[in-house]
Amino acid sequence: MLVDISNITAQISSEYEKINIEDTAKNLRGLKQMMGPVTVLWYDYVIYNAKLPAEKMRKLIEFAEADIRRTVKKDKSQPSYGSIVAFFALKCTELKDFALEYCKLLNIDITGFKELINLPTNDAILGMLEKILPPEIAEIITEIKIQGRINYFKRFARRSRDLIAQRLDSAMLMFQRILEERRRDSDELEAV
Amino acid sequence: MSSKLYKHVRVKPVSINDDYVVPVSHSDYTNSQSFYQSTRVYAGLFANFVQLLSNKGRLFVVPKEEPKDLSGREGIPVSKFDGVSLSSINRPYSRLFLTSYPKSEIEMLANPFALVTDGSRCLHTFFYQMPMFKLNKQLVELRNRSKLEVLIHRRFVELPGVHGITVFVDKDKADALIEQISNLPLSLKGDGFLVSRQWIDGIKFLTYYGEEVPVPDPVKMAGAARSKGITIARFEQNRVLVKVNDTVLPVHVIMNTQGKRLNKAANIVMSALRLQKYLGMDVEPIDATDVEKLKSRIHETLQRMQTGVLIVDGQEVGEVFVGINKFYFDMTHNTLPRVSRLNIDYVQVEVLANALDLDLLDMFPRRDRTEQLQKLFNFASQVNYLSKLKLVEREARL
Repeated sequence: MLVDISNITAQISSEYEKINIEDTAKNLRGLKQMMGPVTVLWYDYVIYNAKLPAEKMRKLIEFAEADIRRTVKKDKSQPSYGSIVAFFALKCTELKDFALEYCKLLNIDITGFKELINLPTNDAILGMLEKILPPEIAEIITEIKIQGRINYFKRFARRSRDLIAQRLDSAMLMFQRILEERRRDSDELEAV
Repeated sequence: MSSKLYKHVRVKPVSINDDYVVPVSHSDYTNSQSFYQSTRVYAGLFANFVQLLSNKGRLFVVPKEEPKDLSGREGIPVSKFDGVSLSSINRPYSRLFLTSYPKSEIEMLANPFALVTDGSRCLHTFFYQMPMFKLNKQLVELRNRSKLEVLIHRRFVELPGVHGITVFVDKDKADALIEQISNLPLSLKGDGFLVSRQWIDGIKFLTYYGEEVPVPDPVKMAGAARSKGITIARFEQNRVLVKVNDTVLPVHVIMNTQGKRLNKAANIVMSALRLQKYLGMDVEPIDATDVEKLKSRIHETLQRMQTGVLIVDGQEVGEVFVGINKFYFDMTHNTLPRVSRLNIDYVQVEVLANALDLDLLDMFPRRDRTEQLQKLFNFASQVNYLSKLKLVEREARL
């Protein structure tokens, strides 16, 4: 038998019950909005600045990977800790719905977090992470010290290759113009 | 090749600002070149249609770059747009379609069962990447006799594509059959398609200069609702046939039954309806906007659905689902084998490399440093050098 006809027929006659187009669209939009900020938070902010022993670093990276993986899944029912912090600390207001929903799912008290939106300091962000993360990871976070101003928008600042090539194209035009001007200037100099 | 198969069309740009879609112009962006680049859509068969939809104010693009301040601007709620079905699945909400349905009317024309299909399984970029095509007489006749009618306020014919008599086989039961047909140890588990040589040879892509381009091997193709894959083998059409009641039909495509994906109605039921129409049965137009009617249509079709018996080299090999599926092709991919480059830009790699005291730039060539780009970099450094030289000359003259 090449196909289980009764099984497929049963699947077809009930698959539409599992479909919710609006929710899928919302989740896909959330995926797009959350992917950048959550990755920025974990890699360009927390891990990039963490100076920890190898074992603790590995544990932290594994947790961050898992959190980002949850964030980039089309199914948004699994809470992502990074999106909560990204909403309050990185001022990613478009994550509001997801962040507040995840706070409810994880029974997180958001009192005090709202002030972060106005003044996100390093200590406040780390304090928030300590408060919401599972105890074993929160313990690692307490050992992290971040000083100075952090450029956590590094990842957003990346430009695509097309754009670089495009800019270099315009640089080529500029190069030709400079060559022409230079030739004209040399002619003038020679005439003098 | 792809530059001749596709052309650029300008689509109106918008941006999503606090759940509202607002129109934008180049002055809203710091880099106007990047903005203009984003408004250019590269399309094939439906290029003029895309242009028309944009002109009519139905289809919009969302530039990649974030605009400057848009606060205080009035817009339309984003809920009035379908941001999934015509966007890339990797970049949802990059193309917006103004519609009053959960999915765009274009998606419903391509797949009349769209409203009972998984929200993430749509036409997506195949709408732009399908090149213009020409079919041989048999395939034109197949399409004309099997194309379905769709009701979206009024009667339409489904969005054109390449029709092919398709056999659906469970991917975990197909290994022996695939080996018998292709003489290769292949599998359908990777979502590949087996196609008949005569079917694929009957399709020619057309460039915008009127030249005919044969279908390459392998080629990326998709059935309804993102049932996509590449062609993994070709077979002679007279070797593989399917018997439906007393009619023996040639098999054009062998594909899997889509496993757990919620797109079986779009593939199997719609294919069955096309086959019923091709065999002369009465098939009513599908009301694509009414979910309840679509559900009852699925049950009705399942009751009347015919299975077939697959015949390979004259031997009956088993019962299969059979129908006429509609396919779209994508010619934008470079299918030549290549060695993937290591990406050393990730922060994870930086962190690990520092911990292990490795100098990655010495170990691996830098990402994106193609020969062409290297030349451009050299140009840029020369420009920089000449600018400095010019400044020195000027100062010397002064």
